[in-house]
Amino acid sequence: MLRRVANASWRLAAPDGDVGYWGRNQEQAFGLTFTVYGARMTAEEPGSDERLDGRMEALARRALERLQSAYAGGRFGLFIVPSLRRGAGPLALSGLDASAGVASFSGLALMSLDWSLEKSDRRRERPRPAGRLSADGSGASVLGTGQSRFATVRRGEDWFAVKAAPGPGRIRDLRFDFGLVAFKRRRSDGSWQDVIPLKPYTSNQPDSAGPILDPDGSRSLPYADDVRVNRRGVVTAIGGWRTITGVPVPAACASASRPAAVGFACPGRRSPATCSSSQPSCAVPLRGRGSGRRR
Amino acid sequence: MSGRYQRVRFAPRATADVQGGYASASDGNLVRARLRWEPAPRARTMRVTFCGAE
Repeated sequence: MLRRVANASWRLAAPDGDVGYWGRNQEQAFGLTFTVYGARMTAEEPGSDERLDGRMEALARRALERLQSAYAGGRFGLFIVPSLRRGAGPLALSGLDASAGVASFSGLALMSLDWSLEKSDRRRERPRPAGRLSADGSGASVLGTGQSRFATVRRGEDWFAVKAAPGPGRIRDLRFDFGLVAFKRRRSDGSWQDVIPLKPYTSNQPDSAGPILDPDGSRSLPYADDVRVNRRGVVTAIGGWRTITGVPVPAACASASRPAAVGFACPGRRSPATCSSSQPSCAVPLRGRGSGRRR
Repeated sequence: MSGRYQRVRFAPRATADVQGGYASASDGNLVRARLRWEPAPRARTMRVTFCGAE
């Protein structure tokens, strides 16, 4: 089980070490430090071969580098999230879960970091060689199940993640939203730039970054039953729209807008700039309970 | 539509509404731009392209 979780972390990690780009406790420092601990514990498990050791060490080091570059500093040495380090003031607190506390969450981060020291290279006669992250080379991964399913893609200088849908009880929180959730591009100096901001924490009403159907004032939000990636790195989220109570949009509405799969295409090097496209396609009609399948 | 960090292009034409007051854990001061398209008489593909600004 530990190895499966660690491998999933290796696949979902962005090339800049980001592992908290969607969901609850978004971007919390303890997510990185527990990743370091888990990766190094996995490498120490009996049966871990050289290849897995290298992957886990790459994951651990990249997470530590992100902790240093995006979280370290300030009066107490560590910010629990990057927004507080950037000094956005009281508004930044509204982007955090109510359960987030500087003392408790810093403590979680420090505790797991301390645990990971016991697994660190400094205690070994020969340091583990670091391999590569999944995101260091072109390719794609599809992770998770159900509405938490999401895809990560690295193609050329671009890396991005696309998620299926918010789970039950999460439709008010944009951090769990459908669609493109993170998109980063490598600068000429090798560092990574966020092309889009991460989605904000919201809690007031059912919401989505879209596309939203609102033909007569009754909003329908996008969702996908499945997320797939083709060989060219194009992610297709296969689904449709549903009302805020979770009912797929009826045929009458579907016939007006013909909701269908929503594609996200990364134009790659042909693009003149750091661009991405979201192309809601109206070419595929809904079938059954709203799962317009496109193969 | 252009902001400090991003430029968004879209087609067909849409009305735009800008709302501040959003925050994520990576950026505590987010502005949300909402685009609205009126129902079209026939099916067509909508395109939204966004570019990060260096």
